[in-house]
Amino acid sequence: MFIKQISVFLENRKGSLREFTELLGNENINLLALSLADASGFGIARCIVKSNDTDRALALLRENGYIARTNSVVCVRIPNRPMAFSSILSVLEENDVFLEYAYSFCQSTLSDAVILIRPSDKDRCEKALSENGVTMVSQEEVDRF
Amino acid sequence: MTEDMFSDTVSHIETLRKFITDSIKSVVGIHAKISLVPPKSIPRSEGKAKRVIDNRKI
Repeated sequence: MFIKQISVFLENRKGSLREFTELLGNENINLLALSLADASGFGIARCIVKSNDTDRALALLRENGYIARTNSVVCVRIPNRPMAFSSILSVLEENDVFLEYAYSFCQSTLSDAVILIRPSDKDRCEKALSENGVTMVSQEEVDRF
Repeated sequence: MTEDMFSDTVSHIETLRKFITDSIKSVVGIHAKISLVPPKSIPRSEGKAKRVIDNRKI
């Protein structure tokens, strides 16, 4: 159960993030989740859009000269209480799954927190989570957010 | 940066930058500061260096 994510290479210059978000916004593509990673001299924007907008967003970005690609991430539902996230991290740690990064949705129709994780091994991650009763969120559920 | 080189993780891109830096050092012998930029974003050279600035008001 994986979610499709779009990653975009951004130049470290004034207006670059605004131009990227405006490009998608002008085509009525909504960002359901967004994560920004900055390194020296460049940035990586990772975002989730509705599944029927993913191909359109990718094509639009490429037409406008952006380096963009899609990959899969795991989406988990985390109860809104202390220690909930750490218990999931313990499951991953016990199964030698490491996190490259994690971020959350801006909002969802669920009462729990919804976190996107990019594991070192997504198949092992999915297996470990499902064996330990962690609820994962499907692409269909994300499309209803 | 090209699409084939690009990854969603910073660590992967930083490794790539280090590889380029080390490759240049091994071939040219000097340490270069590498900036990764999108394709076609580096302006073309405008030819010879401009050494004379004409300030005359003709």
